[in-house]
Amino acid sequence: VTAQMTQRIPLHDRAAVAQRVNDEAVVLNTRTEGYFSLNEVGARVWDLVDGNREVPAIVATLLDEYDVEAAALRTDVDELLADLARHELISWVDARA
Amino acid sequence: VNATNALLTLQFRGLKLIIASNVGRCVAIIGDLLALPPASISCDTDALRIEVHVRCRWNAPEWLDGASSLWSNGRGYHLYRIHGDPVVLVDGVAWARFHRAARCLRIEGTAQVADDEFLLTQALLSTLLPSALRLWSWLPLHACAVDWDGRAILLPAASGSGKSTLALALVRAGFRLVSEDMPLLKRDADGTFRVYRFPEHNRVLPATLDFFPELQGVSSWATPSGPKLLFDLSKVYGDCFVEESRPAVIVTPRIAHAPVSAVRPAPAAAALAELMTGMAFGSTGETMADALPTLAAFVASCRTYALDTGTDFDRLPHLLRDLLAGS
Repeated sequence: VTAQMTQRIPLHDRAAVAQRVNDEAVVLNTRTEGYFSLNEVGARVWDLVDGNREVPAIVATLLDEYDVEAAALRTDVDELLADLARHELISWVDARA
Repeated sequence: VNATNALLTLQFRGLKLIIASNVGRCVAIIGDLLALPPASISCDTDALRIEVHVRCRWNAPEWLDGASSLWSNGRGYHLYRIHGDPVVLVDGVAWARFHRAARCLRIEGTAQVADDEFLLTQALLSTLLPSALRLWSWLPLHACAVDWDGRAILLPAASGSGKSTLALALVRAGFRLVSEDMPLLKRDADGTFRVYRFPEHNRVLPATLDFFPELQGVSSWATPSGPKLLFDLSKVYGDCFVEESRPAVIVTPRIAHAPVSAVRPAPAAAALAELMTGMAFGSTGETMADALPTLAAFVASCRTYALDTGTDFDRLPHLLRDLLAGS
């Protein structure tokens, strides 16, 4: 399996709970009590993280739903997922090649 | 088979609490903590059992091997989860487990459990009691709740964020107290949210008393409880409690270390995050998940603010009363 063939897939951490309020969402790690507020698009990203979708599939879905530029969206999604991983709210699993 | 030597049956609205122990002092300590009336015979048979078993020597529970660790303070105080039940463990001293299926909060430990009021009520009982009350649709919030004329302000905040100080500053200015630390939220059949008082004595740090001249003598008669002092506020301020109120405003406080307090509108998500964090301690993801939609609906029904708490305790109550105006 080469690096190019391995896609990493984001997965909710077992200790994470999420709840929407108005147009935002809060994601909390019940183990560390660290939390993260998400705007509307961020909340949609959280919903699309299901342990099956790879990042390009998440971005493609968002591009259908929001009027945004593809490259900028990809950067935003990558940064958000990195932040969520840093707060132990998601983890990464390797997709089977 | 362990003989039960002491038994107390209390009533909190429709819920019966049965407190049992092989050591009478444990029952007395919990009875002192919860200022609840005795249960009547006709009361709903649905009950929460609180069992305290004091042993001669420490035995780690045999099921602990299968438990997953949730959190530890690094000084021998741990939270675990076993079969979805939350567990508290104090190394070499005691453990508490809320058996959700059996509706029983079981505490077991050495004689220290009967000798140390703070250990029994705060470290063991109060950590798991919120999870238990949620089974009866009471949603305990980690917040201070005060009432003015039937409407409540909720001040959710982590321990050490000045909730007790705020409670005192507001009560002495004529607000009535629903709860200093754990109001119970309930949604009525008509969709209206109310907060209810779950009677516990107030706990303040000795240093907090210095802010208020009328509390200078309290340390001579208050009961020490860990780092705090336990006392009945009504002995100083008269009838200052209210049994229930309708929340209109949520204010998230933090200590500003400044002379002047400042309040500003804040996103609902910030208030929700604070309330979720307060619910997380002693909970598991599974036990919290059921409560979250209710909590979010509650937050959405209130106006939300952030407060930088200064030391202007005479002005602060007016600042907060202004928030209720027009709600």
